[in-house]
Order: sequence, then structure tokens, then C-alpha cells
Amino acid sequence: MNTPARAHLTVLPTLHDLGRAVQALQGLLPARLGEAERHALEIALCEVLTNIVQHGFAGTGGAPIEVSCVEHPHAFVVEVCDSGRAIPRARLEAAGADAFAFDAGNIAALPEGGFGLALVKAAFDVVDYRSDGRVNCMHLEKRLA
Amino acid sequence: MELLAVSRERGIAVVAPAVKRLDASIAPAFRQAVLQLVEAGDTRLALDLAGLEFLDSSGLGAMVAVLKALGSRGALVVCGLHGAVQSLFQLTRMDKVFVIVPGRDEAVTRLAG
Repeated sequence: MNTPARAHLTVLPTLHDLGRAVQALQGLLPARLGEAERHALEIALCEVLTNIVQHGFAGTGGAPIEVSCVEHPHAFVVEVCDSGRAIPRARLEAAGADAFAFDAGNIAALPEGGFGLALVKAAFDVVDYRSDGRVNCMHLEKRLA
Repeated sequence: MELLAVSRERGIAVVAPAVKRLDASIAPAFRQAVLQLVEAGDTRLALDLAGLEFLDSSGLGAMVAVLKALGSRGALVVCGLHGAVQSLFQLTRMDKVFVIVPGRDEAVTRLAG
């Protein structure tokens, strides 16, 4: 039986460090995924990390973010854990495809943000989130054929 | 750090990010730099993203802000979309909002016409 491919990253919770982390994660995405799916996952992982830095730590820094990736035969699993402020449950549940349901013809009313969690939900098949008040972990799964 | 490479072709300002990744660490400054061009009178802009390898929702939001700032007094045409950058436009449906053409020449022609 093949051993699942595993990787672990420790990411400093600064916007400056995120670019390097996302590039490293991009290199860990399963090669058997199509290009569009790989792009969607790269974008989603960037949004997860950015959300932690900007909202979890409010840009003030803190303990490193721990990211683990495992490529199982039937799923690519990512776990992202941080010690910042947790994402409010209601905000997580409300995020979805509605974020993209704007009126494309009404330029003045276009959203300039609020896409992050919706992009995460669009890219991954499973998005679970738990927090014990000290550590928050987002569990993400992408099914593999 | 210079964030933009700006040239002028047939009276059109052609703006290209001078970075390969436009994410939350850069987006506010990018937005500010392009808005300064608009405020200085460049109201017909071609945004050439051919050199951009990655764009996140913060960077895309900066482009939306520019589009909104131009409003009815100007125009923005985006070109050079590819890879993850093109994917983000499609995933967010912003490809239905922006005028998008393949290359810089088409963008300038569209704006100069």
C-alpha cells in the first residue's frame, strides 16, 4: 500500500510571508488535478491564510500558522491551524456562491471584497472549521478521481 | 518599490503591474497607484496582466475599485489574462464585469476607437 504524500509548513502570520507560503503550497498540489482545479485551490489557500492574518490576527502578528497537507488516494486534505481570533460561525456559514451573485451591470454597487471564504467553499469539497477558543483549525478536502 | 509600469500608446495609458503576484500585501498600494493615475487625468486605461502570475481577491478588489472610480467618465480594458489570474476572474464572475481582450494591442485599439 502506498504511503500518502505528506507535507507540513509553518507560516509567519504576516502578509509579506504569505506569498512565499502560497507558492510552496502550490508546489504541493496533486499533479493529477486539472489546471483549473489547481488554480482554484491555490487561490483558496491564499484566501484562507490571508483571512487569518487580516482578521484572525488583525494584522498584528502572532504565533505561526501551521499548515499540513496529505495526498490520500481519494482526497487531498489540508489542515490549517492558527491561534488568532476565530472566524464567527455565522460568517462561515453565510459564505457561499451568493457572493458572486452581484449585478454585473451595476458598476457602482460591485463588491470590492467578501469573496475569500466563498472561494474556499467553491474550491474544496469539504470545509470544516473548529475552534476550542485557543486554536482554530480549518479542515479542507478536495476529492481526487 | 515600483508597482506599476506605465506607458502611453495612442493617448491610452497602458498599465502593467510590476510584480508577479498581486495579493493582499500589495493590493492597497496598487489600488492607490492606479487611482492616482486616474486622478491625474488618465481616464482611459488598458490594464495589462500578462506578466502577472497570481492574483487574489484583494488584488481583484483593487481593480474593481479602479473601475468604480472611472465610472462613466472613463474606461478600463483588461488584457493578458492567463492561468490563475484568469481563473480568479472566472470564479468570481468578474469576467462578466470587465471588458477583457486577449492582448495589449486589442486593448489600446478598443480604447482609442
